[in-house]
Amino acid sequence: MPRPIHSILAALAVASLAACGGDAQPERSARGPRSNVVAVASGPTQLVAEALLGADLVRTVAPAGTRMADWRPDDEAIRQMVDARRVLVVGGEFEPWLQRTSLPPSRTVTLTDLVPVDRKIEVGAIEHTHGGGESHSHGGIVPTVWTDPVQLRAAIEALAESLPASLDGVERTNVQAPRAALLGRIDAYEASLRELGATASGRTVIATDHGLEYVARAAEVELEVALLELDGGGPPNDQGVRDLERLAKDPSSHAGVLVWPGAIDAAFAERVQEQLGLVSVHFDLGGEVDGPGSSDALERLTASVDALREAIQESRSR
Amino acid sequence: MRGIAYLAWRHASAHRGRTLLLVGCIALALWVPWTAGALARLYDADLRARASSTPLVIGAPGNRYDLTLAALYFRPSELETVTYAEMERLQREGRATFVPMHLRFTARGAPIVATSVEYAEFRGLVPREGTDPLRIGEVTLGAGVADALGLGAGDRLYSDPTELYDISRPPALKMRVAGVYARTGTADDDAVFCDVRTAWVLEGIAHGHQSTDQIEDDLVLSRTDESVSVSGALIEYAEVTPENEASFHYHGDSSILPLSAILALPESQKDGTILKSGVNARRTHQAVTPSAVVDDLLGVVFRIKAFFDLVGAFLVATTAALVALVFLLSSRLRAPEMRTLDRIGAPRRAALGLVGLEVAGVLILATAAAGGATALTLALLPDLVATF
Amino acid sequence: MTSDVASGPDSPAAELQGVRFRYRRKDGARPFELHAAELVLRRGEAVACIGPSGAGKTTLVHLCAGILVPDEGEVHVAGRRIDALPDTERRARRAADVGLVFQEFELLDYLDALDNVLVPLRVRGASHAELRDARARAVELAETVGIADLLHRVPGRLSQGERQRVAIARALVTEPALVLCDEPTGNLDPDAAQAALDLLLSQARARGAGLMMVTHDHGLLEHFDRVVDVRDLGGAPKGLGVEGGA
Repeated sequence: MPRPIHSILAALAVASLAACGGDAQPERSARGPRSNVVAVASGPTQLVAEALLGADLVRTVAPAGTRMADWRPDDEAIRQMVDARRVLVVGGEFEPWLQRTSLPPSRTVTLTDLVPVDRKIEVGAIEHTHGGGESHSHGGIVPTVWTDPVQLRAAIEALAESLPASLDGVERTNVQAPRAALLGRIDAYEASLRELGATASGRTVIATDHGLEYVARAAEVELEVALLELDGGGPPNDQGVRDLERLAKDPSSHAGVLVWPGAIDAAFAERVQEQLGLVSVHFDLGGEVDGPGSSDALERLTASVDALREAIQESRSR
Repeated sequence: MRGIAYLAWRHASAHRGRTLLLVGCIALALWVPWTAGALARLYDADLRARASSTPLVIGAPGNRYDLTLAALYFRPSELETVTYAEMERLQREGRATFVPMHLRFTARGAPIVATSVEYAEFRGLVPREGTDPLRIGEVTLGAGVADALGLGAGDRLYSDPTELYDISRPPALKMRVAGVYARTGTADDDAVFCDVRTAWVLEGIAHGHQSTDQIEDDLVLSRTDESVSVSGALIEYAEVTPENEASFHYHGDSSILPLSAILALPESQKDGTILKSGVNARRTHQAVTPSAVVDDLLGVVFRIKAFFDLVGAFLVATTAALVALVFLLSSRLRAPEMRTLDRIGAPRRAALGLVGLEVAGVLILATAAAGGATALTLALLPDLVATF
Repeated sequence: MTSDVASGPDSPAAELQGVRFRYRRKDGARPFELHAAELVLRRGEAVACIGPSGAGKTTLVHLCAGILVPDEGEVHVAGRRIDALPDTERRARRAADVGLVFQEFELLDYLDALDNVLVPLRVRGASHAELRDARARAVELAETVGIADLLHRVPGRLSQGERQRVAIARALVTEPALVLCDEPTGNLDPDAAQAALDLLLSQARARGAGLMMVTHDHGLLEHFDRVVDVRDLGGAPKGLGVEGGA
């Protein structure tokens, strides 16, 4: 085998590099994940993990009700995730903090990577401004994959063996019943979606962001998005306002509701109802961690579907 | 013989200059090959230990020596990069734990090893103070770097500028020291560790934005509704702070985020073999077994060492010949002394004993001196290397 | 020829019977031969040995000391025949029974005066106890010969006369039966030579040792009990080493 001369020199250089260590005594000790838990920070990952492992083996590191878009994990939360056997995250742009946090790649499981590629919805990036603010854009895969029952089932199936196997003392038989129960609830959620589709009966549902894309597809409802971006408390996205006005123009084409996956801006909602005749409806996508005694992500999601269906019914009856 | 030994001792101490010179020459002639041999054995053990503990290194096609040495010892080299997406793809195969490594930058001369927490776990790096790097912009120092620079948790460390004329990159990144790893006696002691995302900030692939409101007035050259012109003195470095952390983001497709190498830690030998052959079969990447590469390199090193052994042997032989000559000439000069002892009634072997004991004494002293010098050299070697 | 002479205080210090010693010269000249039909040196007796250069005076001294072994005849020292002894034993006897003083003194330059005096004991492997006793004797002897203040000086820092005294002390430290001196005053001025001779004679007589001294200095012969010409030792003029020799 030919050996370039620089490799020979490199070998000698290595000798000098190795010498730098001298004969100091190593102070090593074994390291690795120490907590026999799976760490989660959001509602959907909590839902899946607890269904497959039980609540005792799931460590929720984000406070209940925290929006992932706003969360900055503190050092303790990061340490807890690093120490866990697995960290279950949604992925995509759902958890922006992931880009700035040092999680172990080999132990980080991303929900969006587990679902079929052809089921993912990608939206184009649109550059825009808010009043006089900086220009920016959003786009890519819509991260709310768990709201699609097909993808949620796929994720659960994908994790059914590997997640319990990552922990000590979890036998596959132990997780059969809760998993079956969750799958049953997903069926119920799917039925609610079908009812929603039937209620909308071909009318467009207008939403303030793309989080509802999978819900709409599963319910066979046509979704239009007016990207208002009012979460920050600033002025609405100019293009979003124009889109909203355009979409609301023909009352016969839409379902008479404006769906807010985020918090409703009361003042803006009131203006929309007065000027465009759209009733604002909050839709909880289940993205936040649920607190003790509160509903889990799927319950909130199903309830939101039912509430939306009722709102559409009410709007159409007016 | 005791009396002869006494005479030999008195002769040697009376001519202590000559004796010390002889001891010194012989000690030097022994010290060189002994130290070289001991160092070679140490290097051999060190190199093999680190290489043996690293099952597989995956990188771009190219020089496998450079890839291995970069992955094991962080030697700066212009390696072609592989993508983070490739690592994720390999990870999905589930045959190994993969550890990303980005090795392009330095901080005050020490290599910045941009990796993940699995690297510290794999190498047994335990923080002696502080923590592993938990966020972008944080570093944890090897013990050698921390001691040399006098830095500890909470201090700041600047990365070294690379391309001064590339305005897409921060000239330097001001990094927060999150902790210091305990000494391991390996190349890890002399490196700076950070998350791989921090390297992407250094690459200019990820960046944050500084609010113009935070710029001091005396650094603002002009301010209009649309833009703010600032002095060149303003952005001498970038820094990730809790205030601007949320603004750090990647531009472009994350699948092109570059890595210098990927350490693969297979679950089993079978997984390792399948993984290696699979990677090499695709030809777009290469997977190398560091122990094999280091064995190959050491073959070269030890052929060179064999040459130095030969030089050492010549040195010893030459010194031995010179020492023999010195004693021969000394014996000639001492002939009257020997004749006197002979006449007085000394045993026939007295002359031989006198010279022999002196030679033996010199050899013993020289051997002890060479042994001591070798031990001292090995003990002080890190300092010597640092000095020279 | 006598082969057995009782050893002890009454035995002669040295006795040569029918000794012949010869060797061929390297330059091809006539072979040298020394013949001593009979020579007896009693204890306490001082004998001067004279003769021209090359007549065999030094050879005679070496035969008496056992340094050379005769081709014929017997050599006895302190009542013991030494010529028939193996080399090792002959050396041991020489170290024990014979004190030697040389013309050049032949001190070891790296030893101080005291250690030079003790060399005969060291080379024969004396025990610690013997060395301790010898050291005390050497100090006493040094006072006697006048070098008590010079015991820790190396020869390089001593005068010729002082070196001579150290060499005499070295010859006497083993209390030998026989003291052999090979022109010990040859390098000294007349006063120093006289003083050295007085010292040798007095010390040898005081210790009951036989003294044989090779000398060319006829002015000193008066002080000896006997004077022998090496050429007359054979009993008849047989061409004793007339040319060259030791």
